[in-house]
Amino acid sequence: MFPVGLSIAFTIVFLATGAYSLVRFARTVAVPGAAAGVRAVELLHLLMSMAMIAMAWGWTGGPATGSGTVQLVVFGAFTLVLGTQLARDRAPRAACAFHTVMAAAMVWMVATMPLLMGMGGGGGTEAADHAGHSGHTAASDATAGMAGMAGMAGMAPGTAMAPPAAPGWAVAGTWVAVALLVLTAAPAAVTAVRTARARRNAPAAGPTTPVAPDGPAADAPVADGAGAVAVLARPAPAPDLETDADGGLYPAACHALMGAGMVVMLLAML
Amino acid sequence: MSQVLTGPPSGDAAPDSELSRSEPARPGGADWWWRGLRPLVRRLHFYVGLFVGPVLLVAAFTGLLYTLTPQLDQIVYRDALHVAQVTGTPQSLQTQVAAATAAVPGGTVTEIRPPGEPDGTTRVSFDAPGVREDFSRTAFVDPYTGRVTAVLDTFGEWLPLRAWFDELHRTLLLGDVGRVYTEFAASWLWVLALSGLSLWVVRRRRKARVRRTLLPETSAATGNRLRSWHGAVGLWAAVGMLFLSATGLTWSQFAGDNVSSLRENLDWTTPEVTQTLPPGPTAAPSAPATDVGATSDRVLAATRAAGLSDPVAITPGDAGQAWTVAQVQRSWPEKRDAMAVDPGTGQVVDTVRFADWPLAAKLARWGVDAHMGLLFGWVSQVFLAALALGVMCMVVWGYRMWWKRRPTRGGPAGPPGGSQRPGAGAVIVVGVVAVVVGVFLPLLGVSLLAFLLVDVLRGAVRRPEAPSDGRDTSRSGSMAP
Repeated sequence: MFPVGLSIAFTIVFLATGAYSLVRFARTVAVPGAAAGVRAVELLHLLMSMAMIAMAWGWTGGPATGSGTVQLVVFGAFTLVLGTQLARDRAPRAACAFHTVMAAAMVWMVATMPLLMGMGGGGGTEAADHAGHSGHTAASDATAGMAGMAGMAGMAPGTAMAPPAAPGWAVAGTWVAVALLVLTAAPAAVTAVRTARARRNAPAAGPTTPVAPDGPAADAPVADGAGAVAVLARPAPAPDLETDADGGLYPAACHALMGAGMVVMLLAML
Repeated sequence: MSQVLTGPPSGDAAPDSELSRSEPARPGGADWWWRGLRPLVRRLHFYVGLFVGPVLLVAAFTGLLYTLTPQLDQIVYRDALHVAQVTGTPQSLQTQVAAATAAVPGGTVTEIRPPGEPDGTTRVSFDAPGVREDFSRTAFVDPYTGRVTAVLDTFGEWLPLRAWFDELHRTLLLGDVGRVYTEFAASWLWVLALSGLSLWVVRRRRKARVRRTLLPETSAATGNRLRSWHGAVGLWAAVGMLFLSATGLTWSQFAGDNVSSLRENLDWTTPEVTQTLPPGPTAAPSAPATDVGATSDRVLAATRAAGLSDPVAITPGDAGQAWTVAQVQRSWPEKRDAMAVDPGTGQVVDTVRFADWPLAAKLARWGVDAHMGLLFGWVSQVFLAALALGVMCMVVWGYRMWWKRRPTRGGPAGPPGGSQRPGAGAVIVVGVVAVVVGVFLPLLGVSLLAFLLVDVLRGAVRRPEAPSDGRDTSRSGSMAP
């Protein structure tokens, strides 16, 4: 798996994004009038953050495991729905593209991690033993999952074997995923930095709200800073869950962090 | 959670006189947290009950049937379980095993259970060709005459009838796939019990609070009467439901793995005797098949001399290993002492006393046996049967309450009090708990996730209706914050 230091770093980053997403999700539930789409996206953020932490520590496995299958189904469904919305132009394109790419990247990671990291398809720590009910005597028939290439049938005990080289298509696909993530997450990072700078330079005043550069956005959903470069305008309208009272800094930062975390993990897998 | 958490479709916020009466605003005070949590708990209880109810109904019904099996066994298998006449002294195990071996050609002895009562038969179990996986072919031998009274395929110690009901309850006769249903029921049962209990106990009542909490209101109007039966029976059954959920999860397919890992990490596992023989010339390389009977007599005599009382099961060891003789009494007081015996010399090489088990292992043993109606005999059976009936009634009452709230404008009725929103803090707390619990109980986590996904994706892709104020909401369904 990953070096411990890297796993800890992933954990810190995705704990932060997960906690932030949970708070936002809770707010959409508690405040009347929040759009269902916002809830869906916050749920996506939350699930991705959890999955990334689990992946960082090897708690979940590849596509052959139960946890891997669940992730493929969940993030596959998100990819389909988001991709459809993107194609139909029913959502702000930059944000929707970013979410689509993130969901698709999750699918790619789960599907190719065993290949890229030279692991068996089992992976993870899932035990296949079942507590038997035979007379309720809790007899167990432990079946060890294949934990890796070393130790496979036919190998001498203790024989070290270098992990096999990842297939070329898996490596190429990973680079494509990295590129797409960088492309779609970069605007969020830019927005986060600009908003932070603007906040630092602005005199202390009332709350601010970001406005897309190409039009007023007082009552339009803002793409969490993804894609839209925010400028500041005052005074703010009624509190809007979709933009946050912080001028869009935290949503943009959340996107940037998640994108960066995924890029680093993909690169670490190579 | 577009509707699950935030409320039902328009039109189904059914007026609920009892609930609205019971929910006056409570400004200030220490119950602010409950005001935020209660709407969420109500929705949780409603939706979990709605979707898990059928599974619980089936589990409770099959469990109810299971509670009858001890008596059915005595009727159906009377000839196999009891001797016709108690005459003289029992013959040696060697003689009885020989008779059993003749009745099960090609079998390998896996266990011998001498009778625990004077009129009982000796059970000799075999691994034999043609026997289902996890089953044994068991010959029942009259210890006084050495005559085989019956040969049955048994599941552990269960005779075929009980094994069938056991499998029905565990898997609906669908194998490993069917185990998902019991785990699903066990994973959600405690959620239903706790949410229902909190709603019922904290509910405000203007008068006769204790009586109306503990007992159903037989004279109330239909809706309130149903609710009072549902709540009062649920209150009494809550401890039992929590118990069934916890014990059921210990041998479930997915959560059971986590429970086992937890017990292992906390050193709560059930101790076992070591079958490793001490080195030396006394260690028998193996016991030939023909000597199994004679060896059984030897190891049984050794353990009895060492103070191990009946009922016991003798398990032959592999070549070069000790045999084990373990007490198998699963009713109170449990007898679970075990000894390992050198089959060559008859020397006891290891002993594990039930009294020395870790408390957690004892609790697990008692819990499993209580869940199966064994711990206190017929008292356990009556308790479990009443519990199963109570759960079945509560499920039916729950659906009846839901049905009585029809018709509604926006389709089927949603949760009661649908106009109330949970507090953000409550959602966060419940969300964190759901994540932790969902990881430990994977089936709960996956089913919750599936439920949330369907709900949230449905809400996200649905084109919302234009509001009456003419405001444009065409983007509110899109998945873009």
